[in-house]
Amino acid sequence: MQRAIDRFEAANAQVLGVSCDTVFSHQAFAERLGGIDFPLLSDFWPHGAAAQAYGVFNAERGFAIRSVFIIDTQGIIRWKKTYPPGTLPEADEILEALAKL
Amino acid sequence: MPEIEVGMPAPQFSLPVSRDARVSLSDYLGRKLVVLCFYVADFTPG
Repeated sequence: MQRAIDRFEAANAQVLGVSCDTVFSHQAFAERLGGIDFPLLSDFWPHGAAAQAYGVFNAERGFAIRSVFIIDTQGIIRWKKTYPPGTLPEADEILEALAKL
Repeated sequence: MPEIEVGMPAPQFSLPVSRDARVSLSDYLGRKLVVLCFYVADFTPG
């Protein structure tokens, strides 16, 4: 996502990353990556509340399930995809979905 | 857990991004599309 951030900006889309880690972990992770150009949101406490609201919380392990939602300017979900373990979101596919809105 | 489908209103959220700042879905409504990416954990790929 970071590598494609310019194309998301050109599509008037704000990328937000969310995991159940703390903000301190997020800061360390962002530093490790050499800085990233979109916010990392901490769904740590109440643990996984946002992931639960979106139906993508792995309650057994306490993690979010890897998934992407496109939300339009009216707050409606227009596209979603969940990713099995070992697969990663592809920016091209998400950008294509954005272009079709 | 709820099943969230395309066409449904997105659940609101307001989550910390640092010790003193939060990001909310409402920050972008009427202004920008949001690509909300849940990922498993920091320090893992993707």
